[in-house]
Formats: sequence, structure tokens, C-alpha cells
Amino acid sequence: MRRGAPWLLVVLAALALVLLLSVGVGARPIPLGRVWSLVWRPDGSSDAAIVHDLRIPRTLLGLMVGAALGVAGALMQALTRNPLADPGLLGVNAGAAAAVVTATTLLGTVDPLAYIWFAFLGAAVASVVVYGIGTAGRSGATPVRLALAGTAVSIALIAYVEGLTIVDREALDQYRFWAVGALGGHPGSLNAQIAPFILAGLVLAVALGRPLNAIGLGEDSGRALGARLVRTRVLGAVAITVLCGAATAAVGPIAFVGLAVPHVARAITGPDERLVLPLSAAIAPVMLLGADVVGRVVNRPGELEVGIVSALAGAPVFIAIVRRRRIAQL
Amino acid sequence: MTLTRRTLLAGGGAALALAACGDSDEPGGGRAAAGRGSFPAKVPHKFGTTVVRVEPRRVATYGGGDVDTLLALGVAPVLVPDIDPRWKRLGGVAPWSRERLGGTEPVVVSNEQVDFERVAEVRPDLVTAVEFDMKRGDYDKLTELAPTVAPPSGYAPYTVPWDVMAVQVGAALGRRAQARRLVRAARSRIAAAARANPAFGRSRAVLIDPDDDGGVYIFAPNDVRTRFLSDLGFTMPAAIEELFEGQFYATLSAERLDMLDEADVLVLVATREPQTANTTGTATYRRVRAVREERVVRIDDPDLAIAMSYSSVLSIPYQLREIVPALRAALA
Amino acid sequence: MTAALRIPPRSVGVGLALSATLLALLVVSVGTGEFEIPPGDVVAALAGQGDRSTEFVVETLRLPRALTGALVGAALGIGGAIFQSVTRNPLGSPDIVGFMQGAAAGAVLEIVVLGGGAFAIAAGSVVGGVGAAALVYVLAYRGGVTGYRLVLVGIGISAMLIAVTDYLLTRSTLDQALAAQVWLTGSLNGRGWEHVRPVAAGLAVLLPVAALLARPLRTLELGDDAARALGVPVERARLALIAVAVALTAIATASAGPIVFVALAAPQIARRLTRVAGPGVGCAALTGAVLLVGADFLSQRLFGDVQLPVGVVTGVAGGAYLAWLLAHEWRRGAG
Repeated sequence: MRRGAPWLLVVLAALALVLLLSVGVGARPIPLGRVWSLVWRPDGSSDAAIVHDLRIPRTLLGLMVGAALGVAGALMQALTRNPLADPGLLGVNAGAAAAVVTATTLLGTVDPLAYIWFAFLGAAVASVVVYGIGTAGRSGATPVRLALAGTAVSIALIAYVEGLTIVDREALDQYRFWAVGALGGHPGSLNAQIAPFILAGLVLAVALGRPLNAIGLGEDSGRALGARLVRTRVLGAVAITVLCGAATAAVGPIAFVGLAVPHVARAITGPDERLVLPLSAAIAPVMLLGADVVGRVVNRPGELEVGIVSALAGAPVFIAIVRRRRIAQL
Repeated sequence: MTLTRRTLLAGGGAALALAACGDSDEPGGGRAAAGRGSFPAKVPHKFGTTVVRVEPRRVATYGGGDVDTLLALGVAPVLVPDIDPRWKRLGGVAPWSRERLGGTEPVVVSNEQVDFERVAEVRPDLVTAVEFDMKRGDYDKLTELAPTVAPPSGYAPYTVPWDVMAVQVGAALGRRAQARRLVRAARSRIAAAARANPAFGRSRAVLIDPDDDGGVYIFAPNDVRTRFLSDLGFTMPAAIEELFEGQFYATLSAERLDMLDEADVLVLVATREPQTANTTGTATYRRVRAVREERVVRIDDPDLAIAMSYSSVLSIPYQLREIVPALRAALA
Repeated sequence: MTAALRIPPRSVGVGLALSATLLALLVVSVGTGEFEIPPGDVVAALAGQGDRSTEFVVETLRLPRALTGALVGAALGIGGAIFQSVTRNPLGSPDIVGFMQGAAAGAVLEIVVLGGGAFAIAAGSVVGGVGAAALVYVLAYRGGVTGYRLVLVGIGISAMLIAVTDYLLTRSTLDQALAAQVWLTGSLNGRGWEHVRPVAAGLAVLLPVAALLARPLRTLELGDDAARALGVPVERARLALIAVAVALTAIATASAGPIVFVALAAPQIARRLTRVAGPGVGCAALTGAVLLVGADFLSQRLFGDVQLPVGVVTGVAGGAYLAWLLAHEWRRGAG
């Protein structure tokens, strides 16, 4: 912890800055000083309405979704001991998308709260299938295998979604906006709907820090801990499903946040999961909200969805990891 | 409702004068009686000129507004595009033109891509696709099957105005003069509604359609929906008019809905959920002047929304009947 | 042809069986469809004796569509076989290493932003595909290219390209989106003689080149050192092979859009059928043709009224096949 202390301050400062920017920057130019005073003393003006009813809820949504994705990514990487694990890469997002689009097409569901349950189901099924394929054979789930299995399952699911959206045009119209993760344009009630799921997932994940450290020591020494290993894995999988499912149902699939953030967290604290998990929860919103603010600015008067910005920013990180490590480690 | 985005974004484009699509009347100056065209009919369009040699008996169409126009000219098409699944169950055409089918049942085809075998199956002697994004390759193939009429040149896909479309379809049937009479009749109905409601001419109106980010789409002055409102006498607020920059629609983010304050009345397309609920639920929407003064005309009926964007000589009377009383009430 | 003499009898048998299957599929594709035509009339139409509608359906629609499918499938099969041999990895096929996603991004850019016609869309897809594949290759290069790094870099670049494509789609009208969506999944609808000719010409030029390069290709599979020892100019041969494979894939993509998994699956299935270790270019071509014509046959009939783009069928079937392939290989402990 000691060697990470100055960095921890930097992370917290960055988080504070990005929260400020997210409340201060938008389609309507409002001077930052005025925004600041409106935050504390809403005066009933339309500027106050924009700050309190649009920007603050959007920022809180980004905070929650970012934390969920970052922690889910850290959990995945710890559980599978796989530096390439990411909900987007391991088919979890595609599973949630396929389940949601199926529900929209067959049942005509549009209620975000109903989305969540279908997203949970799809995310859970897809992760089990990917993990099952990746662990086939004696040598177990290597990072490369999980990534490839995730790619295969994602491609099949995405082709399925494409087929459905061609048969049902209304589904296409909804899907193609949802397919690009976005923080804007959600009803104010969405935050309250997903908050319980994300909070529960975060608490569960952070509580798993100590047992995850045992797994990190290696499969064999971990095995001595016996049943706790199984329990940790099951609880970890539940936490991942809840976090990814809720985040994906709320704002659509967002890839690479869960991949890149844990690497940054580990670089700061070292491999202690008790610290990596909460730190990921702090760093991920910086990346997500930062990408969101960039998206609001670069494409004025329109907006660039956060899912696009984060993929364009996160994929190079992924490629850098792949290039840096020796293949034997991968 | 299907076709949502198409319904949204169809209908921009320049409202070129009718004269632009050929004033040379029927060859030989022969005047066509209603129900019988004069042939051979020459129809210029964006891929060339099609010659229809004999009175078509089996007309297949891929165009949205083409269906109404054919029916108005007394021709029941044998193949029509699937505009709305609800219509499909009721014979494939709009409720306001259903009785004109005269008991015939057209084949209804999905219109993402041309389903050539289904077209061949109905053995057409004319194919029209004026309100359709027909590709050169589609045209070349369909022409091998039957004379095929594409949109007139100079229009982006789905932007041919209803009056130009009427004359283009009429020309294919050898009935330009009859088509022009239909256009004149529809125009005079609009003008009569405008005269009966002088308040329209003194008011500024904006048609808004909720987008996916809590804001709205607004359509340019040359869009078919905006034109319908301006034909009724409404004007567009100057600040809104500056938004388009040559595009046929503009988006207004949730943070900028205050720009709608200049409008005396808003026409809200409310057929898509959850988009409509998201936009109308934002604090900035609730603060817009016309919303506070309850001067919002909601288009909840998907049929009316389709009529507004797939306007035709047959949909105009329906549009007037449905929307004029609501506009009058909003301005009262 | 000395190479011909060394073809094992099993491969000849498999080749004949594949040819017979392809022929049968072509006959069924041309003979059946939404427009019902008695077999006698189909033959009459082919002989130029049918009525206008029948001749239109048979000669303008079904025959060129089926032939485009067969030729595109063959091109993808050969392209995939060469890619997989050169990278010495079953996953080194163009659909995995970013080519298809680059082609998609290039084409959608053309559809949505530049508003180009059919030729421009095809050109955009080729430029996008070649650019993406080259970028992946360069980024994966670290004193040589190993299979898995190539694949993983391909996944990363693909994700970025998909983000670009998604962005372009949200900025389009529904009609552009639909046009792009149909193109993106790969479709054979409305393919005519104008599509048959370029693919046929491309194959006519590239197939003999591929056949000439078959021997160096087989030697390259043994590893660079072994190939060098056998007197093969390794770098030159590899470059020539990659050029042929890229050209074949580009021609196929320009004609039918980015159809996934035929390039991946066809060489694998061909190997399993022939039980020959090396890349059987001929059998891979035939398998690709059978797969694509078969998938197109299904895609036209699965949903009654609605015709799915063939890429949906190959995507779902191929993703499942890839998952099975991975699980199977790994269970055997090879991977």
C-alpha cells in the first residue's frame, strides 16, 4: 500500500476532476462557476434543471456502470488468472445483447427493469458456455483459449442478433442504438433501478478480495483451502453476472473498460486483490466518464457514444498487452 | 409500429416544382379519360426513360406512397411493400385507402431488399418504385421482367414529394392529366383548411420527434411533414430554421430544448417508446413554453404518423381530418 | 502435372464426392424457390424456351446467384486455406484477423458518409479489408509473426473497427442502416451475371497461381527452417501466397459482402474429409463452394417471407463450429 499511496491520491483527484467535468460540460454551454453554484443552490432556472435533472443523473450512472465494469473485469482476471479477461471479450455482453433482443422481439419488452433480468440470464449462460469451452481438455483455461472461446461465442451470438433484427425492424431500430453503449438519454428512474444490483455486486466482489488472493497464489496451493475455492468461484461468477448484466442492461455493451482498468490498478497497488478490486471501482469511472466527456465534446452539436470512445481507447491497450507479453505467458 | 426510423427520416429533399418532372403531356396531346391511359407512355427517371407500351393490368410496386397513388388513379396493385405489419393483416394497404382495393388482395412483401422471385411470381406488366431506394442493379433486373419506373432524378431516396410522386406514377399509367387533377384537388383541400383557420397563419409550429438520447429530431422546411404544416399556414421559428445547414433533419439535445420556446405549438410524434417517455420526461422538455401552455399536439396514432411521412393524394384528406381539429384546439 | 500424380486416392474420391454434392446443390438451387417452376420448364428456360417470367427467374436470378455463391465460396475456401497454412494456425483465416471487419467498416463508410454506388462500396470494402489485415500483421510482428499473437491483435483491431462501424450506423438513416446491415452480414440476393464475371475471371487467373504455389505452401507448413533447407525462398513464397489469398478474399468480399466463417471452416472441413495434413487447395475450394451454396439455400427458405442474408446463417453455424473446433482440439490436448 505504501508504494501506491501517492498514486491513490492521483486516482482520487482524477475521479473528482472527471466528475466535475461530467457535470460541467455539455451541449449547452454553462460557465463552470455557475454550474458549481447551481449544484449547491438550484435557482429554478433551466440551467439548474439541466445540471440537476440531466447531468448529475448521467454522471451517477457513469459512476455506477464504470465501477461495475471495472470490478467485474478485475474479478474475471483474478478468477481465471487471465490478463485478457473482459466482459466484452468473454461473450458476456453478446450474451446479454442476444437475450435482450430476443425478449424485445418475442415479447415486445421495452421496460429497462425487465431488460435487466434478461441481460442477467444471457450474461450468465454465455459466460458458462465460454468458460466450459475454454476449460475443455487437460491444460485448463489458458488466457488465449478463453479469449478465443469468447470470440467464437460472441460471433455466433452477434450473427443471431443480426438475423433477428433483420426479421424484426423495430428491434433493429432499438438495437442499433443500444448496441453502442451510451450514458445519455436514459430516464431519471434508471439509476434507482440498477443501483441495488450494482451495489450488491460491488459489496460481494470486494468481500471476495481475501479468498481471491489465495487463488492468486496458484491453483495447487489454493486447492488446500478446499471448499472455499469452489465457493469463491461461484460467488465470483454471481458477482460478475450481476455487475455485467446490470451495466449492460442499463446502458448497452461497453467493452475494454473491464480489461484495461484492473491492469492500471495492479500497476499501482501490486497484486493484492483486496486493494485491486476497490481501486478498480475508482479508476473505471474515470475512464468511462472521461470517455463520455470526450464524446460530448468531439462531435458537437451531436454526441459520440461512450461505448465507441471506450472501444477506440481501450482496444490499443489490449493490443499493447498482447504485444508486450511473451506468448508463453499468454 | 415498424419502419420507425424510415417514417422519421423519410420525406426530406427539395420540393422541386412539379414542372420539373416533365410538362410534355401525353403523346399526341390525347386526353386520357379516367381509368384509361394513353400509350405508349414515356416516363423519365433517374436511371433513364421507361416506355410503357400498353395499358398495365398487373402493377407491382415497392414504393410506400406509390400504393396510395395507384389506388387513387383506380389501379389496384398486385404486389405492395410491407409498410406496417398491422396493415398486412388487413390486406396490405393503409386504412384510408383499403376500400379502393375493391376486394382484391395484393401480395405483401418485405421491402428491405427486392424479393425478385415474389415479383416474378405475380407476373407484373409494370413495376413502380418511386418512394423506394431502388438501386441500379435492382432496376436493371426488374426491367428484364417488366417496364420499371424509378424515382425522378434529383431526389435522395424517400424524398420525392407526394405531388411529384403522383405525377410520376400517373405518367407510368399514361394518366398524367388525371394525376394532376388529383394533386390539385388535394392542394385545394389543404388551402381550404388554412383559410378556415386564420390562426394557423399567425403561429409558429415545430414538429418534433423524440430521438434516442432524450432530445428530439426536427425536420427541415423542405421535409414533407414540415411542408404540410407550412401549407396550412404555420411558420418555423427562425432560430430552428438555422439549424439544418443543408441536412434534412437536425437533432436538438435534451440540454437545448429551450430553443423550442419560440414555437406557439408543438406537434409531437409519440409513436416510439421508450424514446417518447424519455424525452417528455426530461425537466427541460417540461419547461418548454408550448408544453407549459399545453399547446402540444401528440401524434399517438401510428397510422397518422405514417400518413404524415408517406404523404399521398389519398393520405392528405385523412391527415387534415385527424390533425386540423387538434391544432385548432391547441391554439384556442 | 507432377503435383497431380501425388494426390492421394482418398483426396480424389473426396473431390469427386464434393463436386457431385455441389452439382446437386446447384441443381436444387436453380430448380426450386418461391416462384414454383416444374423441372421441365426449368430446363426449357435454360434452353431459352420458357416464358418471360420463368426465364427471368431461372436465367437472371437463380443461375447467377447460385454460381456467384459457388465461386465466392471457392475463393473464400482457397483464401482461407492459404492464410491458415501461412500462419500455421487454423484461426489465421481472414475472418479472424480483421480483414472482414475492415471490409465492413470500409463499406459502411462508403454507404453512410460518401454515398457511393455499388462499385465504390466494393472498392471501399477491399481497401478497408486489406488495410486492416496489413495493420494487424504489422502490429503482431515482433521478429516474426506467431499465430496466437496475430489472432489476438486481430481481435483487438476488429473491436475498434466494429466500434467505427457502429458509430457510422448510429449516424445514418434507417434506410442506410438497413442497406449497411444487409451488406454487413453478407448477402447473395440480387447477385447477377455482373457479379459472376469478375469472380470467375479472378479465379481463372488466381487458381493456377495458387496451384503453382501449392508445393512451397506445403513446405512452409513444415516451418521456415525446413522450407529453407528444401530450397524454398521462404519470404518471397510467403509474400506471393499472401498476395494471392488477399486478392481472392477481396474479390469474394467485394461481390457478396463480408461472409464470415467460410474461409475459416472450409479448409478445416476439407482436411478432416481428406485426412491429409497439408492444405488441399482444390478440396478447400470445393468445400467452400458447397458450404456457401448450401447456406444460401437455407437462408432463402428458413423464414418463409423474410429472406435472411446468407451471412447470418454462416455466422451462427460458423460460430458454433468454431466453438466446437476449439473445444475438440483442446480436449485432444493440441492447442
